[in-house]
This record gives sequence, structure tokens and C-alpha cells, in this order.
Amino acid sequence: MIYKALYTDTIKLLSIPESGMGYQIFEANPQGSSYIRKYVAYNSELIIEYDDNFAINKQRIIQKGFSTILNESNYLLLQTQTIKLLSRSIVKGSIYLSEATKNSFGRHSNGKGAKDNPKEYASGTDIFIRLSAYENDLRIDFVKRRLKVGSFTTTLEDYKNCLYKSDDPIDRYALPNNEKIEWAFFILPKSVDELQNGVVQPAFDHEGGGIEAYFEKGTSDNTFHVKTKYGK
Amino acid sequence: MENKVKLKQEHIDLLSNLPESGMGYQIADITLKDGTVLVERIILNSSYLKLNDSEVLIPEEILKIRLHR
Repeated sequence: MIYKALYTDTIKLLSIPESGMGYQIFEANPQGSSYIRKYVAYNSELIIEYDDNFAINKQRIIQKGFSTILNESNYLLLQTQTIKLLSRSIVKGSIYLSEATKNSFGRHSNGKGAKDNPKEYASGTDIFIRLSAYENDLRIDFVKRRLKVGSFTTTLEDYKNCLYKSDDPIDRYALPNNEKIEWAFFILPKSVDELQNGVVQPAFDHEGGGIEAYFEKGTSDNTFHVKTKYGK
Repeated sequence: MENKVKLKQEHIDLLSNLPESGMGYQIADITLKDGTVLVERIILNSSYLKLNDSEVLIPEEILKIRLHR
């Protein structure tokens, strides 16, 4: 079902963080019910119950338009104090109401994964970033200061898009775990280093769409430059 | 909190020199000493085997790890 949020619930939703740009995934008890249900709220005012009909209902909004559906929907009566934000990972498939929303994060809809694209040489000036939940990322050889064989990174440009557009790196890079990304490792490959560029494919119930660069042979010595906290 | 177990150093050393499946993870088949094979399991940072929610496993139960093909 698609609902309109009561003003009090909109106020509550506006007081808690977004799950992604323009939407929130949350659970709450309907009034008079002890059963918790899951919902997705758009713009903190239009709410779809996250059930087996979610994809169909989302499609209805896309087809008829946000305002039209909002006007014709009934109010959802929730126990406001039970509203609780949920992890993005509980939802399978796309949340976004339009491709334009997805593109607003600077994600890419088309393209092959890095391993399916031809090899090319690094420019010698382009910086690549490796994101990790772990400070001791084992794909970095800290002695020789290089990337080990068979390692993935993203580009500096895509990393900036992820940061400045407040995108979710776990969804953008389709990572299999929900551990918070804490670290960014900056790599400046030499022009003799080979890589394959591509688009992160959907996986683990995440959308992907970020840029990935795969270094089958790793990078030359002294190409790892600095480790920073994510976003710093 | 992810349910995961840290692998033995010999397995970490092996995996950290093998290719990734994506940024920060590898997909591997794990053979246990009792003959059970855990197929297409996710290993994080070449060092943590991601377990299912209720799964319990100690690293000493693992006989062999190889990348899933």
C-alpha cells in the first residue's frame, strides 16, 4: 500500500537521517497494532509499505507521479514514537523512484565491470582510491608501498562524487558487508602500471554504479601515497 | 555487527596474495576438516570469513581455502 504521512510523522522523519538521497527506510508499529512493519518514505511524506508489492507500488508512483499519488493516498496511522530507521541493506533491489535520482549521485547505469574491459596503462597522473573498513587493508603492501596483485580501487573523481553527493559507498560499490567505510588509501599508479576500468555491477542486493578500476598485476613500488579517514 | 571469524595467519597470507572479487572482498570455497565444503563464501580484507547470522565456526576447523571459480 501507498500512504501519505501524518504531519507528526513527517516531522519525526525529518528529524532522523536519510537512508539515501530523498528516502528513508524505517520500521514502525501501526496504531492499534503490536506488529512492526517496514516502510520506505520518500521526501518524508509519501510512504510505501515494504512488502511483496513494494516494486509494484513504486512503479505506480513513477507512472502517475509523486504529487498525484500523494493527493490520492490515505493517511498512514503509525505510533510515531516507534519509528526507527533501518539499514539500507534490508531492502532488495532499487529504492529510487527514477533514473534521474540515481544519476544525481553521479552513478553509471550502463557499462561492464572492470574485469570485462580491456587493459590500459595508467596515465601516471590519475589518482585511485581504495576504500576499506579496515585500517590495515591487506591489499596494500605497506613495505613496498604499492597495491598488491588483483586489487580493486575506484577513481578519485568517483570517490569525490560519492562524498560530495552524500552517496552510500556500500551501495555504490556493491560491497558485501555493511561495515562502515572508515579509510581511504590513495594510490598514484605509474604509467607502466596496467589497469581495467569499469562500472560496479549490482551485487549483494546493492545497486553498484560506481566506477571500479582493477589492477591485475598490482601497482609499482612507491605508488601508495597516503591513508586518510574516509571523507577527510 | 557482522558475524565473522578471523582466519588463521597461513590463510590470511595465502588470500592476501590472491586476486579480489571486488573492492575489499574475495569469494572463496572453504573446505572444513570434516569434509564439508562451504561454497561461495565472502572473505573480507583477506582475513575475515563472513558467517551467516547463526553460524558458528572456529578457524581451526578450516582445512583449505581456495578462490571460487
